[in-house]
Amino acid sequence: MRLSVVLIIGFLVLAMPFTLRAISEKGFYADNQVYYNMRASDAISNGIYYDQLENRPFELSLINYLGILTNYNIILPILLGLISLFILFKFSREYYNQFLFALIAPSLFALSPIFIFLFSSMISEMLALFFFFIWVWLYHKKSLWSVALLSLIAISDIEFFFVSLILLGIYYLYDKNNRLFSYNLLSIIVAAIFYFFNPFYLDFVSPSFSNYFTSFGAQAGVSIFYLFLALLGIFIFWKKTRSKKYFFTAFFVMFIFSLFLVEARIIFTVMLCLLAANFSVFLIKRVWAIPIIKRFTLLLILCGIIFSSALFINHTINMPPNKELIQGLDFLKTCTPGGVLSSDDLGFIIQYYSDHPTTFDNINQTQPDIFYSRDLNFVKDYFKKNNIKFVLVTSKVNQNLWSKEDQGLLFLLNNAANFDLIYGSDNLRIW
Amino acid sequence: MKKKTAIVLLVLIVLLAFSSRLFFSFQTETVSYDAYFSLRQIESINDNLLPQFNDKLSFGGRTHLFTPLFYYLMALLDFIPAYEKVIPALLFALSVIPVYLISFQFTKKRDISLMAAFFSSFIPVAFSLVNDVSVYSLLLLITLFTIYFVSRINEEKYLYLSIGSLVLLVLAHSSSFLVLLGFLIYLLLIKLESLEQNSKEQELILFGTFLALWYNFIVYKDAFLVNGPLLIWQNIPLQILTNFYFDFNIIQSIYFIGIIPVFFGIYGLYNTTFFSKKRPVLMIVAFFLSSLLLLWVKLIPFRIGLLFMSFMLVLLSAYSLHLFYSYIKKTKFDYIVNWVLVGILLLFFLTAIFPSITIASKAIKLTPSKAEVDAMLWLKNNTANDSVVMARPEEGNLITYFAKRKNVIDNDYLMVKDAQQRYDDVSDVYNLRLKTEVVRILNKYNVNYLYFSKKFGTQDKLYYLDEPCFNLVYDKVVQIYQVGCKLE
Repeated sequence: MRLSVVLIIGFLVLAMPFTLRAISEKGFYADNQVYYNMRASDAISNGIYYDQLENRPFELSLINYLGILTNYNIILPILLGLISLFILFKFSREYYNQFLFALIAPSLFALSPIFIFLFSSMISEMLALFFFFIWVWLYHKKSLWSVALLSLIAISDIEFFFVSLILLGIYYLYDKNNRLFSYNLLSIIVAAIFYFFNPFYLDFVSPSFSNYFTSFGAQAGVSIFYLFLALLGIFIFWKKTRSKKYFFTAFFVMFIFSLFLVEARIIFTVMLCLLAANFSVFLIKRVWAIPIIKRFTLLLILCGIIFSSALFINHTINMPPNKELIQGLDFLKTCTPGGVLSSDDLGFIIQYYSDHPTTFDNINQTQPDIFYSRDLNFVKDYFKKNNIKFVLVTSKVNQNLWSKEDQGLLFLLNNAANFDLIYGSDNLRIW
Repeated sequence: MKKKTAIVLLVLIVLLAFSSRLFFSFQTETVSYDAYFSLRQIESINDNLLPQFNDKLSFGGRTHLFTPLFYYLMALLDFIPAYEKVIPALLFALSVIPVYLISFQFTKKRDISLMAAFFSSFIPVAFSLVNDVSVYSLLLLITLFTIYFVSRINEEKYLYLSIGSLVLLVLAHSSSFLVLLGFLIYLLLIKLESLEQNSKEQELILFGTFLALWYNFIVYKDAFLVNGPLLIWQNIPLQILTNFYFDFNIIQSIYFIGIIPVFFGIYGLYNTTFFSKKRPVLMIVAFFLSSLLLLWVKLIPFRIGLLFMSFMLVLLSAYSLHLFYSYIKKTKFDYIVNWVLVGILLLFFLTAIFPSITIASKAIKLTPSKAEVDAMLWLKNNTANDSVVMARPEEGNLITYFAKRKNVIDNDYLMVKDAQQRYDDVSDVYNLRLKTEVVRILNKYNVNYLYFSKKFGTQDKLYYLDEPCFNLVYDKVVQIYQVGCKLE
């Protein structure tokens, strides 16, 4: 009965962004990367393996093949999310031997921004996390199937595989008699064979507040509230189980890697949820000297968690593409071929809806020089060199890049004879 | 000393503190430049029951983020004549009461507690806020009462007072984190000294921490997105940041706090840390360390950090004086003990009163003159309602309060995306000699009038000012130029 509550929370949290996006006639998925995956799946299913728009071969990730099978139906990410919660519940219950903990840990994870971000999109990290949960469960059960799962992680997301190997290595330091460790290393061969034939990019990010914490605008980020709860959880956990050095070593290592790798941040968040759950259980079970404070403190924690989730869901709902952008890109599709200059977070969306190449995307990130230049000759050379024929500016892009209408490239777009406004709506302009 | 005598003396100290602050405050008709922001908020509450979160005048239109409790309190009490001077002075003066109560809590001596109360009423740094309509006057009072209530948390009456004051503290201002950090350091010190943990204290501090986190998260959630980590420093431009949060300097700090509280306070700190380990005094030590830490890492404005630190040093002084008093009492010179206390009081008077007067006089000078107010009123009566007036950041709130016109910049930078750019641009306008560049900047912000009071700059005139681009439309002590050129 109580497990069903966790699953219902998970379902509601995941269904909400999809439903609200659908009601406001936005694209189902909010993340830019999904649109690349959708385009890759389309092409692969038609036997095309070279990406003309990106001018490189398509990334042959497992998610693209899964996309072909499911046609990017939203049921799949929701289902994988719920199964992940179920495994986390089973694992917490068995490993920590506390029913309350087993309920709170997956609930906290279900309400965490990273869960909402991953399982409301169809990206390789989502699939890899799902396999990761099964892998940890099977490894814990000392099953040989864990090798297969680690191999699946490898062909889903190379960075996730890298992080999983680090965790495996740390575990080996504390449990050297484990033969399963050696078998699991066989997955490296699978990864080597797979990536020999497929290109891959290690996506390291430079650490900053704005890409680490969701409060500062990060998508795959950590909630400050969760971090605080987890830090308090460390004190409790530390006191009770000093012997569990593995968890703390892994926690510390994941924290370091989480600064540079989104995949490590995902696992770090799962660890934060476990620690936060530990602290919550401590608060609930503690005999309080001031009972009225107990109620208020727990209420505040609950409000804090729900508030951070609600903010992130709201953020997800408001992300592109919206109806206006889709209409604009449909118009662009009818125009002559040519590159589109816009912000990198719209790159894959523009490619998917308009079939036009873009200068910036998740891989080629925005270079500010061109957006802040008022030198017409420089701009003309740059456009010629990069075969740019269109400039697409949404109100959000405008707001993020420029503070005034006469700033940088925007000044030239508005004033120079070389640029014609070919499409304009309330929040979108195409030159 | 009898309780009644102590109460009478305490009331006299409160009245002395109150009247001395009012004396300095009423030396000028105006309040400090920053205080006009508060006055606008209070007026807005009086008119619409709501503060101006969406301000159409500041920075030409922006959103303010703040906790409005203090402004509501001021708005409630605005029937008092000159409330903008009286209420902050009263709140500061009332701080003497919790200082007395806390001191009495660990000295059990009324005369020494009264001395501490007297010390706190003449802390020089507190006189730098003599003309401010400052939320810190309220915050300091609640902080001191919270410390007192929490130190007596085991008594049921004080338990509920502790909860109430802590909630009030969190609602009053985001600087409540200083207090919560103090409490967390206190818990750490208790742990390090292997003293018995008090569950009630732990639970209250935990509750306060979550409340502060949650409340500030709700209030400042938009600023997180707009200003990012700069939110911690209120998005203040770099040049101001170095003055606002300048390096901690010991000599300067002694001048601002007074040599007697510093000397006795540090001895109290030393004794508590290494020998006595009394719980209420450890709490004061924790608060001292909290303000020192925040000052050191520049997370709190210099004057405010010093203000909190000085009150903690005064409380620690009370403890030192108690030790000193007890020691002399045990010697053959016990008959001179009261004279020694009088001597210390006199020494405090000599070393703290003069810096207080100097600091208060400086604070008085940092208020707008009548000529400036007249110029603002001229702007109000002679310019179009949608005019934009450029002045230096310090004068921005005067433009919005008196002239009711849009400014380009003022002192509240939170939620402003291009704060640094604006600050640089305004600095350029007041320092450049090249007319075209100045006109470009003025056009950028659609500036119609340029305000020049000569108060916040070193130069006597602006070199590019001549007709037809700049028409002198107001020429008294203050000069106002109408901008007549557009850069095509």
